[in-house]
Amino acid sequence: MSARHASPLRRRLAVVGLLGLGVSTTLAACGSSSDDKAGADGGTLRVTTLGLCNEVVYWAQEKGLFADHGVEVELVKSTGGAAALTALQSGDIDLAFANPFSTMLAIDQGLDLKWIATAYETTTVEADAANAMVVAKDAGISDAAGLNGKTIGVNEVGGINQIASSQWMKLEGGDPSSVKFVALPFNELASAVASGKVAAAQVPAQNVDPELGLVSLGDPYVVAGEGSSLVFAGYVATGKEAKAKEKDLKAFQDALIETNEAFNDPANDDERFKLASAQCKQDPAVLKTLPENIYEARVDTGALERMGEILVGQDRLDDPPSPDDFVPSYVTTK
Amino acid sequence: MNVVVDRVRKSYGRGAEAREVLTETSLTVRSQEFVSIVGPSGCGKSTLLMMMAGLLKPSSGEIRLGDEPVTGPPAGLSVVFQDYSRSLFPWMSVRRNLTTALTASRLGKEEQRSRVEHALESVGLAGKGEMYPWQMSGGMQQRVAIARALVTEPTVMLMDEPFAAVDAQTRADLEDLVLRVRHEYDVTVAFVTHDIDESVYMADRIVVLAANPGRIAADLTVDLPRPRDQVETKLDARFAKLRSEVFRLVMRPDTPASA
Amino acid sequence: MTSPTTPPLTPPLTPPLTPPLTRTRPGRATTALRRTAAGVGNLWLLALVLVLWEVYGRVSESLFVPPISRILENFGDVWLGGPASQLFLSDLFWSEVTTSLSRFARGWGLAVVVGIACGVVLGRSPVIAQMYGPVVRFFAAIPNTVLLPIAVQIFGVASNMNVFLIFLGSVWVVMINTADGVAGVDPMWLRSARSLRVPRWVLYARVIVPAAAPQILAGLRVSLGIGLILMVISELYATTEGLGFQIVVAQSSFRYLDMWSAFVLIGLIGIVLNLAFGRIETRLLRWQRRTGLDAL
Repeated sequence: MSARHASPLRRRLAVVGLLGLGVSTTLAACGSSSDDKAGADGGTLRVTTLGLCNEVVYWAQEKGLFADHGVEVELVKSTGGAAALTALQSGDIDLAFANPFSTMLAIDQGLDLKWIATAYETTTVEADAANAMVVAKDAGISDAAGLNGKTIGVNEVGGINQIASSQWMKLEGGDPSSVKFVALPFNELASAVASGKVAAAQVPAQNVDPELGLVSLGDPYVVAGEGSSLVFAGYVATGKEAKAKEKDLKAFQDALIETNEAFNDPANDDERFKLASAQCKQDPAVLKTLPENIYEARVDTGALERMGEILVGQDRLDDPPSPDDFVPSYVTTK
Repeated sequence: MNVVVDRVRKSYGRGAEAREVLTETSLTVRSQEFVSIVGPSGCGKSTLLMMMAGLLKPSSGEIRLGDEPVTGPPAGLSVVFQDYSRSLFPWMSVRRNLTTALTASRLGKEEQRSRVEHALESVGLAGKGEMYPWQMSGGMQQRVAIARALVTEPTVMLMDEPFAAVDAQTRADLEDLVLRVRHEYDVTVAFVTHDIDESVYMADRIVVLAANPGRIAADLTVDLPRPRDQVETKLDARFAKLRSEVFRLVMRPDTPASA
Repeated sequence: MTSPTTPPLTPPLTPPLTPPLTRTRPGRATTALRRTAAGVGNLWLLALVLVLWEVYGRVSESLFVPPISRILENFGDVWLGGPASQLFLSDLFWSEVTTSLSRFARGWGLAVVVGIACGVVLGRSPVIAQMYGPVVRFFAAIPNTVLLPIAVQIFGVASNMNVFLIFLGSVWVVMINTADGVAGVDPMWLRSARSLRVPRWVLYARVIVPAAAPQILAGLRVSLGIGLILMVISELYATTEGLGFQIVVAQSSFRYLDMWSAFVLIGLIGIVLNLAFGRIETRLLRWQRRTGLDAL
């Protein structure tokens, strides 16, 4: 490229370079100025949920519980826990429906997250199992050790179900490091086991369909909890939001606590199934028979600590974040 | 082997839009003859040659090579086209271009090799088998085309204005080359050209075509001595006479012949 | 339809009366150095982008766009560091990248074979092209990610699923370009081959396919990019190992540096493959550019 030809070309390229610089600085600016959606008192919280069927939030909305506590809630659909946590950063949503494992891993990697309220806890005995490690009946696998070297399906690679399944295997005498985990959509996991594509899958208990020849080896969460409940899912906000919207977030948790009291009262069963079926488009009679996780909005910091230890035991973390740091002081604990 | 053109016609289109390129024409190219076919644009000379080559079907009439009717490109007949860059295969070396011509015959490797060497030598390209057409000048490429036509040792060689795309000096060399190899390989040649001097210099016989409609206007015998020479032959009075006669027939067909 | 005369490239028949003027030409070493400097000089825009990236990464401290220096450091940790016997590449590289590339090679290789074969048929037969043309273009328009669930249904959780996706995504471009190339072969060459009475397989192998090579290779080059993308996409789901799988693993544990390293690696693979392909293409198509100029 001789000097003669370079001048107009160089000028053009310099313009491109300046444009690039301009664009990147604008992006940087946009990235940070995301969280001024507060404003009026009694603000709106945009909350994500998997699949939009969140009976607890619907009840609280229907019964005016959110309004009572001075907050409005808008549900937004999202995919798995990790994706929701990432979406939090852009300021599009205020609360992400996420699990504690993903949250702690994210905090360890430098994301500033706070746990505002719990949504569900896991059950403690097999009789109340809400989840299952499902295998085909005639596959000849009867325990965790039988899954050594095999493939297990989960809904998200590296997500809570994989971590729980690995823990289950470890405690039940299997070797989780020999297992290959594969991601498949939730509704395809059971049929993948039935058709032999995977040896086992971690699914909600209601997906163990005996007509497909499926049977459960046990609820991984029951085993991983070792007699106590674990925190299954909850609502997470950014550190900035946790400070700026303290009033709204506290109101949110309070409304949920009140809702769960009503949920745990069997007298309300019919009504809540009817409400859930209207919103979730499922038969209330069917809903009645489905196993359920424990409805709990107060935050069990002891359980969170134990879950941090599980992550350490699986070499996913060296030093788990302490609940004292990531659960704000205004959140109700148990 | 004779090439017999038996009452051949060629027209395109149907009915009212029919365009007759060549009216009913008969012609025999006798064995080992060198026939020039010359005429103005639109006289159908290339069309005639393509039909003789079996690359074009006559609308009526028949072409025969020896006793066999020509229905497609026949064995023992080679064609040299005008545009060497679109008839030689540039992705192949010269050698491979030639051996491709031999794939139709079932010759052994040794026989093929010796034929290729011989053909290249005859056209003055000995040892250049590994070059590619695009590495060569126009004149050299046309030599390769001629070599490719000769490598099958044909009985008949048809040439369609082969030197039109080549400069005058190279053309003179190539004309002499063709005359030499025709002798060496003993081929019958039908040679289409628009160059009047060339048509006289090369041939034993000149077939002059006229246009509108395409037809044979004259069939002249050339009694100039062989071997021809670019200087000596063209000094011969008979050359000038033949040349002007052909010129008249082609360029001024309406004027009467001179005494 | 006469072509213009070509200027003589052979030396004149008589020797020149005066010796030609000699020009001083730069030595081969200097020319090579100059060419390298020009090539490197062309990279200055890339350098500018990298500098901007580094600046932005450090200033914004965003987790999602880390500075280039940290990405490269992570790249070294994750993908390099093996012994010389492993070409200094890490164990992870050898286990994951070879898996991915093997799937790519099988899927893309199959697409090339099937695509060229079918493309030749489509290009040669206008009847078949009319019949199947719409079908081909229909399938070519389907976004490949849509095919993922179908692929999983058929092949389950195995490498064949990835190979299938890569194949299905890449084959159409090859096929369509081959068909176009074959249909557009200069009829003069075909006439030449006809007059030489070459057997049919010679016609296809030595004339038609090489003549269509420029177009075929263009299709191959595009499908190379598509195949690489699909290699990664097919591994984001229903897969137990590979480069795409590593990206998902990194994403689920919020290790963005790992993710970026994987992106850089994929980009490098793409660049290397493209360079290699470009080399081969230039070699195979030497005749094309020269012929074009010669015909002037």
